[in-house]
Amino acid sequence: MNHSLITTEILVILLGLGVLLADLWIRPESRPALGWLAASLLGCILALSLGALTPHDGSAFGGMYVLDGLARYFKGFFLLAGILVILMTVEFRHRLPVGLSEFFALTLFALAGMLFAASANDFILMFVSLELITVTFFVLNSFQRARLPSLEAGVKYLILGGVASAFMIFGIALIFGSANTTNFSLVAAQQAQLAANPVFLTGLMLVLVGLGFKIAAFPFHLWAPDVYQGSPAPATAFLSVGSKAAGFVLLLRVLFGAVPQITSQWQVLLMVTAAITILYGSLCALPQRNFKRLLGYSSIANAGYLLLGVAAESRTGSSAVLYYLGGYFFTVLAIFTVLCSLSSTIDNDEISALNGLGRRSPFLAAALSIGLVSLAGIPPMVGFFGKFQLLAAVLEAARLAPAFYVLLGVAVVGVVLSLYYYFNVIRAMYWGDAPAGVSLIEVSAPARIALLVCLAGVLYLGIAPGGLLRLADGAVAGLKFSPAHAPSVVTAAH
Amino acid sequence: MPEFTDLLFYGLAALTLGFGFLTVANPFSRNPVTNAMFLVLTIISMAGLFVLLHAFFLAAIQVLVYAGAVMVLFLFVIMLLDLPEENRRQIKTLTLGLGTIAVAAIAGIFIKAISHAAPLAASDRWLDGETKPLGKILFETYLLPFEILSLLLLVAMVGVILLSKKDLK
Amino acid sequence: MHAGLNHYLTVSVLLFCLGFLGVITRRNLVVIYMGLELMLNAANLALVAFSRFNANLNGQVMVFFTITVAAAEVAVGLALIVALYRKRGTAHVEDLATLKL
Repeated sequence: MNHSLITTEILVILLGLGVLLADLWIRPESRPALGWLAASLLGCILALSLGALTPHDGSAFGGMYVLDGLARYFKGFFLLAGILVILMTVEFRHRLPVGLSEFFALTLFALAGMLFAASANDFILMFVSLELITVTFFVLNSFQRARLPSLEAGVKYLILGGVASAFMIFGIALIFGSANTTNFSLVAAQQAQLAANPVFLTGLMLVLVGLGFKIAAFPFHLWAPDVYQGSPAPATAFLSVGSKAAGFVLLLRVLFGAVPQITSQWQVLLMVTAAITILYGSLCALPQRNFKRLLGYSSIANAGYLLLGVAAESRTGSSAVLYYLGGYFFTVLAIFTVLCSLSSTIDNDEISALNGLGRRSPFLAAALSIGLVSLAGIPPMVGFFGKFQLLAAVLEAARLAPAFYVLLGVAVVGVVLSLYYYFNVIRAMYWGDAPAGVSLIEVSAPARIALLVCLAGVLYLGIAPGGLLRLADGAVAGLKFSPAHAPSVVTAAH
Repeated sequence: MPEFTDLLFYGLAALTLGFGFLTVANPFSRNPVTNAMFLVLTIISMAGLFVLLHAFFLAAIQVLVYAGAVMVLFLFVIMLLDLPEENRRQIKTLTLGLGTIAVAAIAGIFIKAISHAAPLAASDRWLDGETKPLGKILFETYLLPFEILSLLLLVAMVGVILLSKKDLK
Repeated sequence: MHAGLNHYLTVSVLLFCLGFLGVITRRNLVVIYMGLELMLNAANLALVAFSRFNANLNGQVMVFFTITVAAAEVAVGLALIVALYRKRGTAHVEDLATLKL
């Protein structure tokens, strides 16, 4: 047993408890300072966790918790996301009249859940850490309880999230009953027999339903637009990078860690889900007038692109997923930081409210444009290279299964559609008429830092993708990809 | 000739499902309090099934935590809000029909799948769910999830205060 | 017939589907939440049954976790429903239309 492996998580939880307690003694006006303190302490934890804190890989708690390349990759991103989201929350404080410190603390607890999820090697640990994330987001999404949209977003997430949890735990029950274990490695060891066991397969399918909810894949995406529109912007930002990434790391671990052999038989299912998710997200985003709702649909479409890499079922595909998530992370956080900076001057999230932003705040407009251009996948931003990697993985898979060419076509259609709706926003900012009598918009120093970090990430990773790509490739080294693709069906027919 | 425990099983299973049905679809009353009371009865019949499965400790927990704490919470909220009797809104027949068909399809798939389930252990090795072995497993094998759940309960507490306290400062 | 694993699992599946039916057809948020409780309870029954017939007590420990998760979800969920009711004066799904679908 090597309990020191969870030092990072323990420190994050202690920080959360500290913030919760510190609020008892500080004056309300110094709460933003508490946020800056929490963010900088989180920065220290990030710096330590990269090296000194947990120098060795290994597993703890009877193999339930693993610390490997994949876990480290995601933990780094989750911690960075936590820092940026807390800075964002400080910017957003004008719209959070009560409970600013609690918002920080809950963000940190959700972060702890994500850190545990990144290391989960057991269905139970997976379920418990996902629940920690989900229940925290029930509260974060409905945090502006004086605003009806926020409450509605919370209730919708509550009901659909509850259904997803129920499906997942029922699935875990069936998996436990047929495999007599819930450990991914032990399941993997007996998957040859389990692949023919309908009880196990049904259970696995139900678990995938639960994960599909977290990543907002079709047909479990229904909550995304409403929740994106109604929730406070920092909560939405954390939901779209943290919660989604947690869903993907678990998806990779289940599909390629626990049951690679069964995954190779379910490739068609993954392909169809990816295609429909991309098309649905892109088509529904077209007519949107509300910027946050647009981002909700865009997040669905992006889940579809990420599923392309999963469906490719290869090392290239999975490392492309990790790389894309890394780029998506910086891009989305840049966009939401801009929204939070605007929150004190602009009181709604319509795209028309951004009219003339190019003249009111050239810096924010430029940052938002870079973010959107990256989401649209235009070089030299990171979004382009991420999509390029994913499509390269699809092309590679197409040599084995020609059906992937269809998927490639769908992805290209999605990208073309996305150009339209992202450029709509950019047009509003630079060519829209600013409402009369408005002033310039001030950007505070922490927001400027957060934005510069994100933009540096977007540009640097797009121009010099090698480093992150190598990191991503190393991180997926532990995953197993079954070589038996379509040929297994062919041999059965013979 | 069926054994006594089998008869008990059939009786309790029928009660569980019957009360469960009345929880979600009560043809006699639209009052949410009735639904909640039937949920209590469902849970108590399930505790009976737990006893038949020799999960004695869990049966007690089921009655204490579920029928006791959780259901009191439900009843509190229903009475606090003074929820009016649900007026018979036009439930869209199409939605209801499609929903029932979808659920029936899911039920069919599941039942077909679980008909393949077989016990993995011979009947002479079956275990009783006594408190001591359960505690040992809980605090040894499942220590980490247990601790994470304590954090989850803290989050729930903070969340409930934030969401329902009348005037927060 | 002797009550075996399959009998218990059948009860569990039927209960799960009843709960799911309640979630998708009922319109009162509190009653929808009761449907969710039924679904979680169905999973508990399956876990206990597997635990008994596979001679593996881990399943019963998982039931603890489900019960705790259910309690936390119920607490937050009902608080949210109360907050919504205070603001909106309704607990009906159809009245949640501020966000266009």
